[in-house]
Amino acid sequence: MEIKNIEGQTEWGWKIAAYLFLAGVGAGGYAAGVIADFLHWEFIARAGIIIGFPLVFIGTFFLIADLGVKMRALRAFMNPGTSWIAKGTWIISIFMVLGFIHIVTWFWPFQWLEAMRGLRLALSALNLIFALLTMIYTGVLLGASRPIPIWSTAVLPLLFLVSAVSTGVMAILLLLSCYGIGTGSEVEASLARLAKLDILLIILEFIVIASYLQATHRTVESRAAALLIIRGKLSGYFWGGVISVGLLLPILIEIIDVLFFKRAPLEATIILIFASTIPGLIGGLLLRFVVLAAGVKAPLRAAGIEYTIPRVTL
Amino acid sequence: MARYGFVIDLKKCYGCYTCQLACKAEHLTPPGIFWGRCLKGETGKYPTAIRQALPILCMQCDDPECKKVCPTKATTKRDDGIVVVDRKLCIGCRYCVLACPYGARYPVPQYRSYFEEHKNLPAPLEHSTNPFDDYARAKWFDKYGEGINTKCTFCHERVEKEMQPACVVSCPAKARYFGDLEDPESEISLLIKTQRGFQLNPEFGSDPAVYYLPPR
Ligand code: SF4
Ligand code: SF4
Repeated sequence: MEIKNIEGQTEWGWKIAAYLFLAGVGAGGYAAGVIADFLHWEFIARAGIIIGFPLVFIGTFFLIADLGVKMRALRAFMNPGTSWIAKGTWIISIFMVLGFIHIVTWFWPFQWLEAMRGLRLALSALNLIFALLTMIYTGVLLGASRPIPIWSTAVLPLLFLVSAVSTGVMAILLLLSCYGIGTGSEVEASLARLAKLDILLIILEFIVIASYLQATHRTVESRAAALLIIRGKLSGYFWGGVISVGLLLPILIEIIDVLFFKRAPLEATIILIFASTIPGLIGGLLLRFVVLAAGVKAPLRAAGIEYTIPRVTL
Repeated sequence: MARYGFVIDLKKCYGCYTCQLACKAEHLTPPGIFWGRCLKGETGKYPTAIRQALPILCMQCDDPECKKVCPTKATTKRDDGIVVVDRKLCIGCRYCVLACPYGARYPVPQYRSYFEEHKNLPAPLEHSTNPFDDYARAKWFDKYGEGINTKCTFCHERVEKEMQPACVVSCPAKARYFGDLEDPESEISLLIKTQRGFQLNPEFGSDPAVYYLPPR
């Protein structure tokens, strides 16, 4: 198949990719933190919950910056019944409000609330739902654009969910390893535990990416877009960025780390963990970018001839 | 109430781009914006290769995808079936650009002029050297502006004055017909019925108001 002339959409570019990435990391990290809190894994819980609100909040600035009329951003709250932009705006707003409350009740100056663990866990459980919705709705949002077949698949929300949790865990690892480097030890048990989890998550992400491309490649409508990723214009970002830097490199470092954890000096293992998270996070951002840039519209058909819809170029 | 629609006869259309230019002249759209445009497609192999033009515009769908995704109710459908964007409500999220199956949506992040010497000056411009440019710019800011989304309006200002859309009157091949789809006796309804009129990509289920007559 001729893939030279096929172009993905450019309407939603790197700003939206940055938002999708930050919202994913924030919500994924928060979700991991809440679950760690249920399990009494203190360090992981704190690190995860503290990155939730701020990262999503930064992400919303990218969203607003992408609007044509930034002053009207609040109008995105209208119409929650139909548009996924409006639904999503509500979802992330509730997530951010609850996430913010969660942070202030756990840290200064509201520690007295921390004593009420029951209340805090109830809040966590409620906001866990909104964290999940934050991770998933972005895939549904893209899927609502029906003329772009590579987005209109049920695998996309799953892919975004897995990537969000995986990058969220990496962000926790990043934070904890910085803390570990700064203060000496204390966090190594948490790091080891999380690194093992992250290895599993990366393997899961491999499987989901493979099935996403497999499914879209098999479907006639979305094959062009899948080819764009696998061997077209986006293949460099995909194989070099998403797969090699984002998944292979972190999983290799983490496996080495887990295998030699007991034998190597503690500092070395912590630095290794730190080194695995940066490429992993970059890969998460590139994954969003690749999915967006592969948004090829279905061609128009008349009397047996296909017409590519020209891209809007301004 | 009428439901306005188009019939475009692909037998007659020879792909001269007059409709595309007439639209620009009528609406003074900035560079890169083609509410109506003419596409070219090819099929077959030499010596039986075929080249066929396909003029497109906003299909004024009965169940518009663009309206479904609009988060602000900026996109609405009028009683006569014409889908319009309210410039005061649109936030410029461009979700509609992605959702429209027919490539009919044109965001205008920033106004650009056809006259390059003005391109670095702030708009709307007070001092310029070209009266047409001034006029075009003022008209555009009067009706649309920046940051928002725009699209073909079926020339509803003309239609309200009982004139035909600009692309219809200018088509030298007389390949375009404008009329009322709801009236079974209208010219376009009869053409659709008698000459196998069809809609583009009906699989999206949005029920376009633009019909085509087959090229052969
Ligand atoms: S053609 Fe596109 S912009 Fe026009 S009404 Fe249909 S979905 Fe909306
Ligand atoms: S760009 Fe404007 S018209 Fe289009 S979906 Fe967004 S708010 Fe609605």
